[in-house]
Amino acid sequence: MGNLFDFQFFLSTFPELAKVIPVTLKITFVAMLASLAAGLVVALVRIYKIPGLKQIAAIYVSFARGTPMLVQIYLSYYGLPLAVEYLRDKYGWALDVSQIPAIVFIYFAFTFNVAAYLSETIRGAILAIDKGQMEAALSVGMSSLKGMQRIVLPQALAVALPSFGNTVIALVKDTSLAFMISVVEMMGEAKILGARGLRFFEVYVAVAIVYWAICFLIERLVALAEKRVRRFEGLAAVKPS
Amino acid sequence: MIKLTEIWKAFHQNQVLKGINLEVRKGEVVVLLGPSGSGKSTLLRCINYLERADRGLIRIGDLEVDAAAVHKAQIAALRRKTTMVFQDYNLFRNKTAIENVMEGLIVVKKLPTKEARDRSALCLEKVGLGNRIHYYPSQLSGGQQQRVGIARAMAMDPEVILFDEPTSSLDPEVVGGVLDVMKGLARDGMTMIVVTHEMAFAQEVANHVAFMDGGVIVEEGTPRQVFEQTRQDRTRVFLQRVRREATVSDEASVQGPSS
Repeated sequence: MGNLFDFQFFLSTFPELAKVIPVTLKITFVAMLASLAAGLVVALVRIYKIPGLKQIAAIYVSFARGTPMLVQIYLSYYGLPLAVEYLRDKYGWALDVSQIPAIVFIYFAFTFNVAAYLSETIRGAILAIDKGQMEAALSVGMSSLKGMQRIVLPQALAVALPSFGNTVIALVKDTSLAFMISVVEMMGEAKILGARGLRFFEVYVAVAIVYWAICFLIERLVALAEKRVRRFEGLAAVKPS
Repeated sequence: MIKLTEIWKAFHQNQVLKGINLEVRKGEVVVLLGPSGSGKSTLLRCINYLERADRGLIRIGDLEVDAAAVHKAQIAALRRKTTMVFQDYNLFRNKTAIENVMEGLIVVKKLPTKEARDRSALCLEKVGLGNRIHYYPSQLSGGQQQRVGIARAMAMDPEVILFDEPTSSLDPEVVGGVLDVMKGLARDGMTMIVVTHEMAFAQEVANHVAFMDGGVIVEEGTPRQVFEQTRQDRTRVFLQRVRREATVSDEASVQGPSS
């Protein structure tokens, strides 16, 4: 099988790929965190039907979900510098656009994309919480902000968590597109290794395994988190806190 | 003292409240009766602004709110003077029994955690749930949940507790326990406005009964006046129907266990 599948080479790619796992995780983590914040804002704008903003939010969600991730990466990579340059000239910032690392455009593009999906998840989760929960919060004198923060959102989180898990997994896999604007994450590294050793299949098998392992771990983590977040729904006896 | 003056409320084209006037003195228990759709729940929800009245004056103690020119701070102030017990309990599902009671004390009254905890434990003790304080709502029966709801409402030490059909979702066998808790509250001098179909409770506990139909108060007075010296036909028809239903459900619950 020596010629068909170079096992030696296959194994040698793992340490190299492992070195760039942090890049993949970093993109995932930053984009996910920023998307949660942005997605929550968009969801609230749509739930409270804030005039003016709600139309913008609706168009944004439709556009972000209706165009390919790859196109959004290119738009971010080529469009954002133009926008920054425009603002720089207008406000006289001392800023060299070419000094912005490419990964920043990746953060932006992924946040732009994922926040749209998350906003829909969050919106659905909040709307799934019985109206009486907020009314009860108001009835003891809480503000609607406090009621949202302390009563509705924690329950909505429990509803949304499985969907969040799916989104993170999709995001991990989508980070493989970052190499299109020469951010060297795992897929980029795999291509480089393949070209260097003139062995592509081996390295793609290796990278597939690494992606799978990461996603598997995330699945487990989400399942654990779900158990924790949903504990109030359980019927098991509760330990006094 | 609570005074409602000329409360009007419409949902779209549907005029639900047509100029309601109601006065409740301190320590009084007022029962609102009426067929479904008569506007009694809406009236109750207008008092703490879960519904916005279109017009009218709402006075609670020294606070008077004109519905036509209300602002946020007044709504907040109204809600701090009132609490509500809901038909479907509406306990905070993500919080244990004691956390449900503590929530308002900590967030609204800004009590230190320990004080809030002690006071909440006391309230739960009072409603007979001293041994359930760390249970989540999903682990409690309907009757227990409603008693937590009452503990949550009384812990805030409001000027009035609004009860919105507190026993309508409960199994017949646990209704008595919840009513007993309410009777205890009444004895302690809590001002209460209660929307209910429990005639016996109204007869025994209420100082004042108001019968609503079609968005107006048709008849009001002491329980004796309304139940025994009924003046209006609409009231009479309603009372007859409710009594008949009560008899039927009593018979059903007597026959229940044997079948």
